Amino acid sequence: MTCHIYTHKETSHISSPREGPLTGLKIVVQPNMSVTGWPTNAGSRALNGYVALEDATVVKRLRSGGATLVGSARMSELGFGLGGDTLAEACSGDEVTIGLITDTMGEARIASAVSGMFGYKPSFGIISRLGMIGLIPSMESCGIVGRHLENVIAVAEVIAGFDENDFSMADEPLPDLGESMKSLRIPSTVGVIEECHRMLNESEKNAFKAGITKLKDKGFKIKELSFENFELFRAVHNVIGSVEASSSSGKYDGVRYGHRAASDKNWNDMYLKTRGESFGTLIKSYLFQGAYFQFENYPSFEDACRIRGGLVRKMSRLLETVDVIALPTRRLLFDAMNATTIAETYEAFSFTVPANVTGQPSLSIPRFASDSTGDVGLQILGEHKSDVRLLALGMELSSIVKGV
Amino acid sequence: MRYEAVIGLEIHVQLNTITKLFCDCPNSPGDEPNKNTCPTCLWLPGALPRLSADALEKATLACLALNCTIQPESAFDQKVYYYPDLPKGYQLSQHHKPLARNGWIDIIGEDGELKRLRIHHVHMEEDVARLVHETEGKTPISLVDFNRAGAPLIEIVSEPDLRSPHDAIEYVKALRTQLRYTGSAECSMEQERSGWMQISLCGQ
Repeated sequence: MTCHIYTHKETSHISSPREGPLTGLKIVVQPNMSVTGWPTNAGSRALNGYVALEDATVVKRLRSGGATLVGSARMSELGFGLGGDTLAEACSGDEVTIGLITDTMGEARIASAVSGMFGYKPSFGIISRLGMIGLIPSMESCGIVGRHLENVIAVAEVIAGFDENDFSMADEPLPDLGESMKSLRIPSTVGVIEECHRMLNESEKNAFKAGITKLKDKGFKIKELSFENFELFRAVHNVIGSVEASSSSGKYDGVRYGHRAASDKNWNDMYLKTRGESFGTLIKSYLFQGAYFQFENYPSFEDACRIRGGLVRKMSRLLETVDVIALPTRRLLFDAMNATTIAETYEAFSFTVPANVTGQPSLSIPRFASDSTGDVGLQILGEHKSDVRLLALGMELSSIVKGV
Repeated sequence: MRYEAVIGLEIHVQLNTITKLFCDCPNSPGDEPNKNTCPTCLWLPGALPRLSADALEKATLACLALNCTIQPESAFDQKVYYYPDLPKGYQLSQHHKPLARNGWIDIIGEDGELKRLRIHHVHMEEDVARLVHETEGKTPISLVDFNRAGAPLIEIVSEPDLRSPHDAIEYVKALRTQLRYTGSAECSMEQERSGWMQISLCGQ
């Protein structure tokens, strides 16, 4: 492999990983996940040369589970979108079994849908974020991608669970994924949202329909649902996300780490120049948006927070009438990897942002919602903390794919 | 025309907890510079805050001693501003949902009568780092001491019920007595933090 894929490649660890449930699994992370001694620049010049001081909670658990950390791939600047991201590419070879990718607006699910893998965004608050350099704290989770769902589940089992150092985590313990999966009733009623359907073009519609037909053929009950103003998910994610991103990125001033601009005037001038030089165009305009809502249009931010509450309640109500909701994972028309503006980015992530806004778990299954023109990915979304059921359904559906 | 002063005070008090507000570092700002620090109070990337139960209890006691109503739900906000004593770009403070509201404290007014001064609300927040400006030879340099960064504070915001310097002095004395009694704060002059005084003049 070349540096085109990796920002850091570990050479010393291979010696003797511990014996555990993950022994033999090779894992690639992003350079926003703290691994002691590894460069951790989160894809930004603002963190140039920054080296992690200690392992993230997730990394500690991977190590004690016996996994081998192979290296870190390239990532989009501060994890916003997928521009320049090479994690999926790293996972597509034989060298790596699992990739960890921060899912802020759907990155784990889209990266996996594009490359024929499974992508899992866990419920908010079940995997520790300590040591993950985040951007949008209320929306992001540690996503897991891999070619085999069994491996994704094995890794989730090891890294999920309470961490007293992450205040946003649920107090109650997570059920043992493997054990409870055996005794579980597999969800059988799948909801589809009419308004989403209308947003798709012809070839995307056909690919998604092919997936729904497969579900019907296998005896799943399909229920049509209506979600008025579905496009509000995007707007709410944009407003709240940009505000949180702007606040989280305020620390990149170049004083103690990262790129620092030369300035002989005063500290304020140095901050301005440093930040001007540190951020790329896409993230810079996103941070500008956030600053605008924070300082010039706070009522819109408060509206977005209120609307977010309404969207969460609406989604939960719909999930009382079905077991899971099925959505396409990605658009064929908009390429997430090459989006250069905020508008293009949100177009590409239209169907994945809902789970980030609500905090619900979501899984993207490859080769299911596909026809000759492409694979939109079958994304299933369940109620908050119904991860076990969702993954069990994923296993069921992946066996259907294998059987085809 | 005679004028009457209408005064409101916002006073910061440092809680005498063992640890800082969001990490396990000692709450001991006077120690050798940057001794009491960790990734959380240095605000390094990837660190997360975790609220100290001790600080919450002491702040709550202080609010009760000031006859406040403890709010069933309170929350921290990120108060954004850029200054070298706050390298993470925001201060964790309670802007929208303070810990307690609607308190009061009695003083003896200038007329010798009992006077009740209302407290609008009390909220918790973290202290910022301390800047030290020195010269090294002829070059002015500025140093940052993070011992104080993340120390627990409460901010007591009064209603504009004070009418004179006498009221202000008595108010501060009464606050100090109550807070010391609860054991939540030392209120020593060395630990005195900045406060705001808002004075309006009303024509009579």
